[in-house]
This record gives sequence, structure tokens and C-alpha cells, in this order.
Amino acid sequence: MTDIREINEKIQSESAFVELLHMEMGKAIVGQRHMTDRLLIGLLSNGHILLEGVPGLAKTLAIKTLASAIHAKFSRIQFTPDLLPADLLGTMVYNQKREEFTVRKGPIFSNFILADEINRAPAKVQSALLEAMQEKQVTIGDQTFHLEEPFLVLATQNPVEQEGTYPLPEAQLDRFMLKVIIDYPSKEEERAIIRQNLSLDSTQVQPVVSSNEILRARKTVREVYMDEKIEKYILDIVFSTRQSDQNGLGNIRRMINYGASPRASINLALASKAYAFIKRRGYVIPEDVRAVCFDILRHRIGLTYEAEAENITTDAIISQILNAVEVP
Amino acid sequence: MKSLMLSVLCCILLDSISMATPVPDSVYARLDTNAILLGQQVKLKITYQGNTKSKLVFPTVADTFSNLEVVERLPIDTIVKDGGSLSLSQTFTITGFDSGYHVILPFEFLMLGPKQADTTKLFTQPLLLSVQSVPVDTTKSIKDIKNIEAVPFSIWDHLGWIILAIGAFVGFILWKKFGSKLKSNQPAIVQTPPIPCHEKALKELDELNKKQLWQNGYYRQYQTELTDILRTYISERWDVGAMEMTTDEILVLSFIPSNEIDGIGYVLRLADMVKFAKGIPHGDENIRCMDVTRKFIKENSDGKIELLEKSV
Repeated sequence: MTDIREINEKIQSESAFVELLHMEMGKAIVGQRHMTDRLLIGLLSNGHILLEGVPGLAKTLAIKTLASAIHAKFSRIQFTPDLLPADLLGTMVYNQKREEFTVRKGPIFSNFILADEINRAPAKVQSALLEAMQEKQVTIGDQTFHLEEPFLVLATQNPVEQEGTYPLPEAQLDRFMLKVIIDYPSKEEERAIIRQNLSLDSTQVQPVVSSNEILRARKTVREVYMDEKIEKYILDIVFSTRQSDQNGLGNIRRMINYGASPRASINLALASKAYAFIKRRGYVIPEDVRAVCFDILRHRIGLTYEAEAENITTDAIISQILNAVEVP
Repeated sequence: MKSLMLSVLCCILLDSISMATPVPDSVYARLDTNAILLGQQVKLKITYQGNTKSKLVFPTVADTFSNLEVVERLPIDTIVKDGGSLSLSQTFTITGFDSGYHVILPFEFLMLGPKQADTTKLFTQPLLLSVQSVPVDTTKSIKDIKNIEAVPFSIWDHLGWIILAIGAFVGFILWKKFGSKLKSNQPAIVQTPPIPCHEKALKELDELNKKQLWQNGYYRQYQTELTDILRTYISERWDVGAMEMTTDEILVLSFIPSNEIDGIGYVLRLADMVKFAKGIPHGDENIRCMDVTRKFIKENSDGKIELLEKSV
């Protein structure tokens, strides 16, 4: 067993900070391991995350804690119907003293951005954010500014209040690498949350990893070995969303309006590598693909009206696909 | 001779005069008979005769009139006579169930002119119909209702069924006689009992051993085939989709005996290393994988064998 030893050893040393990061985040956040893992996947794969969950599930705290643990700048933007792109990106301000326009940068110039309730702002603000996410640069007036790395946007959506919202179009949803659904904590976790919040001891999250280490880890993630069999497995899954009559999945064909894009295949492969890295492994196994599959695909599959009428979710369709596609 | 000629001429003249003279409009009603028994039927005929050019409206006869009931009504019959006169008539079959004398009131014919003032009415004469009750001999005892009379049997009414029965009988005889011969000509289908999944898996393991894959450096193919045999066995033995499950998912299946988890866990994880991480297992690791798989299949096949035997 020698072939993979080198890459495994490299991953072992490079991913040492992952446990430290988890421990540090655990000081402020109880449970929500799924969410913190996905935050790391987004961070390591240079992707952005759309979080969906009811209020009060520590979404803001999670990204704030992550920013503190990495010693990075953090901004929180509350999206409202009257928000303007300039409020987000920045604007030109006239300086009377100097008699010239100067640039005032907006809150997007941070490493970690929490775009809270992104669907409450009109399309032009959403577009401004998503463009910045994609291009990693912002133009104000005639000057273009590159956004500082690492740059991670965590947008949140509230699944219960849909009145007065501007749902994100499918094309923009596709730009989020992961769509994570956060559930309530368990009883034990919630007890620990109560105790932690009522305690007089205030725990300070200390920086345990530098931005440079994260950037280096990003490169290492891409070196994680992915066998052809795994690539085929990823393609089988993604293609099943488009040609669902394969693998005996004819029954879900009428439920799918449109399948996942090639961006889904890319992101599924990259997220699988990142997950293997978090698990401190130098190669991808089918478990890694399955672990991130729901988060990668759930916002990339369009349901038909028929499926919506029958309350069938994309998660149910992904489950069916995973149960039908043969594991290598 | 002269008088004869004169009389013939007079006759012709008179006839032509009579033919040219228009027939006056007249209407009348007639009954076949003036007296009927209760329920007996009688024909009533109402007729118009004349030369009218105007529109004629026949009287509307209700289903019941003057305590009499209309059983049947025929369409209006039109006869054009010589000289252009018309005869329109309609015949009704009527009956009565009340004894006594019934007056059939005059029927009204309307001759519509171009203006309302030109409309004239014509009436038939009234008729009298006597409906008489049936005389009952009260001195005799009351008799019961007669039984339903049997229809006389006719073979023609049942001919179709008879032919069908004969045809079926002949068909059955032919099938009995020649059917067995036809059957014996066909090759017999030998139904082989399904091979129990453990026997199939063990046979496949033997075949895999014979291929000498890992001995020749095909570690990956060896491990892939070995785990495929194991997964297929689990699928067939416990009826689960093990081929679509990952190693972790298989190891948490509730029906896998706890003492076997380490063993098959070792086989599946080693295979994952070989398949997905370019791992090269040692020879004794390959042998151990084969032994563990064989042992697992043998030790977990009892229940299935019993089930198969029962079903056979």
C-alpha cells in the first residue's frame, strides 16, 4: 500500500488545522457539525454557500466564529427591500476639502460576508452581490477593486416567510456552490446551548489558522486523488437528473423540469475532494460524494408543477437517484 | 235520334257544369259504431272536404276527451279528388272505460285567411257513443286468474344454442384425442430450481480464484470482482440494494451479524483503498479477503436455504 502514501501524508499535515478549527468553533457553537463542515467545504473549494433555515439556528454566529478563528474580516449585511447596490459595494463620495470624488468601499470588502435574508432585497442588489461573488472584483466609478482572498459569501434564506420576497432566479442559485439546509439542534445540543448562554464565563474564539494557510489548503484540496471510477459515479448521478429514465428511474422523470448543470458536476467533484480533505484523506471515496451530493444538487434541479403539487422535494428525488445509481 | 243526341249533350254539359262547380267546404266526424262494450275500441274519423286555398288547421284531439281515451292516432290522410277538391281525414282509435252515453263534442276546423277577419271556423256534428258494461253472471262462483300459458316449444328458436353445444362437444373430443399427441411432440420444459444465492456466490468465488488475478498483478480487478460478489450476495440474501450502497452504509445494516462487521468491513475498506486510492495489497491481504468473504457467505446462508427449500 504505497502509491497513495505521499499524498496522504501531505493531506495529513496540511489538514491538521481542520480539527483545531472545529475545536475553536465548538467553543461558540454547539452541534451544527453539518453546517460547520459545509462552511469549511465552501472555504476550501472557493465556493459560496446558501443557507436555509429558520431564524435562531446560529447561522450568523457560525460565520462570525469562523471569521474569528481564521483571523479574517467579517461583514454582515441585512438585505432589505430598500437596499441599493451602492450600500453593498460602495460609492463615490465628494470630498469638499480636496474637491474631488473619493471611493468609499462597501461592506463587501471583507473576507467573510453574511448576506442575511438575501431574498428580501430586489433583483438589482442580488445581482450586484452575485456578480461580485463570481468575478471576485468590484467596480466603483472607473476603478476596479479585487476582493481580498479568502472571500466567502454566506447568504441566508428564511424558508417560512415568503411574503414580500424576491426569490433568487435559477441562474443565480446555480452560482452558489452549496445550498445547506439547517435543522434544529437535538435535545442534548439544545441543553448545552442553554447552559453555554447562561454561563457567566465568556469564551473568546482565538485565531487558530491564518488566511495563508487556508489559501495553501485550497491548492492541496485540488491535489486530492479522484479515481476514474469516482468521476464516473459523479457523472452517473448528475446525468440521472437529466436523463432520469436511466437506472430504472423512469418514475421521477415527470417530476424533473430541468436537471443539474455541468457546474454541478464540477462542484460535486470539488466538494467531494474538500470533504475528503476535511476527513484527512488523500483520496475520494463514494462516501464523500454522497455526503455532499444533497447540498450540491438540491438547488440545481428544477421541479415540475406536478411534483410541487405533490409536495415532492428535490431532496426526495436526489435520494431516489442515489438509491438507484450503482456505487463503484 | 235528335232527342238522344240532345240528351247526351245535356248530360255532358251538366257534368261539366257540375265538375266546374266548386265543392262547398264541409267537415264531419264518423264513428264505426255507436255502441261498444267497456274497453272495446272504436274508430273515429274526422274529415274535411272542400276546395280551400287557405291554410287549414285540424282540430287538436286530446288523449282523453268526453270520458273517452285515444288509443292510437293516425297521421292526416290527404286525397285529391277530380276537379281539384280535397279530402283530408284523420282516424283515431278510441275506447271508453266508463259505462254510459258519452257525447263527442263537435271538433273545430280553422281555415286561416290572409287577415284575421278572414279566418273561418267549421264544426263537425256532435256524436253519441254508448259504452255498455259487460254482463256478469253473479250466480256463478268467482274464478281464479288463469295461469300463464306455456309457449309451444319450437326447435328453430333454440337452433343456435344447439349448434354451439354440438360444436363445443366435438371440439372437446378432438382436443382429447389429438391434444395429447401435440403436447407430446413439443420439447419438455425442464424447470430448474433457482440456485441459492450462497451457492452462486461460492461458485463465483471459486471462479475468481481460478482466474489468478492478483497473482498476475491485477489487484484492482480482483478486489472489484470480489466486492461485487459480496455485495450481490448481500443484495440477494437480504433483499437490499447493496450494489447502490457505500461501504459505510453496508456496515450499518441491521441484519449484518455484529461479529461479521469487522471481517467484511476489512474486505470492503481494503477494496476501497485498492479501487479509489491506487492501493496495492499484499498477497496475504488478498487471501484473507477471499477467506473472510467465503466464511461470511457460508455462515449466513442457513436461513436462506431453509426458505428456499420451503418454497420449493
